[in-house]
Amino acid sequence: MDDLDRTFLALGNGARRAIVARLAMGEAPISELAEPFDMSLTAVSKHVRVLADAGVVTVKKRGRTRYCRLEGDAMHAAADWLNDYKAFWEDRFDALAAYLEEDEGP
Amino acid sequence: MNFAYLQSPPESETVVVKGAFRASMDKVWRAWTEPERLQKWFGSKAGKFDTVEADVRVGGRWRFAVLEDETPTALQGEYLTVEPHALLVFTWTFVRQLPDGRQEATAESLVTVAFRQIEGGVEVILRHENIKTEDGRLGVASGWDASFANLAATL
Repeated sequence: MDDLDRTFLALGNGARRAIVARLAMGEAPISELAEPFDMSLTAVSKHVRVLADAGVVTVKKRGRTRYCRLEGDAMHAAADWLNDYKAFWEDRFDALAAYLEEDEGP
Repeated sequence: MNFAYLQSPPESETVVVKGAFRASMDKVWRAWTEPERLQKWFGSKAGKFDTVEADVRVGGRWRFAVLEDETPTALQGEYLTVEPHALLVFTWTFVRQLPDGRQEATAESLVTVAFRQIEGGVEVILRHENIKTEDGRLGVASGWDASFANLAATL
């Protein structure tokens, strides 16, 4: 499995995507992540571990608190992958526009 | 940071592309449905694809094939909906023939192309959906890169 596979696998779960969406606003203590999701701290820790294994987030301990933050690189690689599809079609549309202008026929 | 794909269902992403073309509806429709016209733009100006087949009727198949570093590859699928001057729906798969005889293929995704008459031309809205993240990458990694290189060379 390569990095991108791991990233998408990690994101292929609603709870984990909700955690990522929350972390997009800034780092947070893991205990705080559990609150809005009505999840036990254990459940959240498991999801965070999957995200961390995929490189999507990192966990750092400061004092007694474990903080979780989003790592941009893995997320950008995933976004780039989808953008390739979009770019593919945008290029095709450009080529179609050029073709339609070149072609003087009816 | 805003990651739009976080809102779509897991492992089945959607891409939407919209364009307005200054041409008659008939001309735009034919560009999408006649193989010799498709080859001129879809395969880029360099004529990337060796084979272009498009049997545009419900149940008909389409296939764009090319040798890539001596490996036979193809984009292919089946037409599900054909409403002239309005709607074209087809499945989409990327297939690669491996040297050991095995065939590698992405899961099937779905492309919907809607055509609408607007002032001075035609609006085309394309949705490419059910792109499976586990293996859709295969098509991006080989097909798209080559396509981009090909396109860049023609500019």
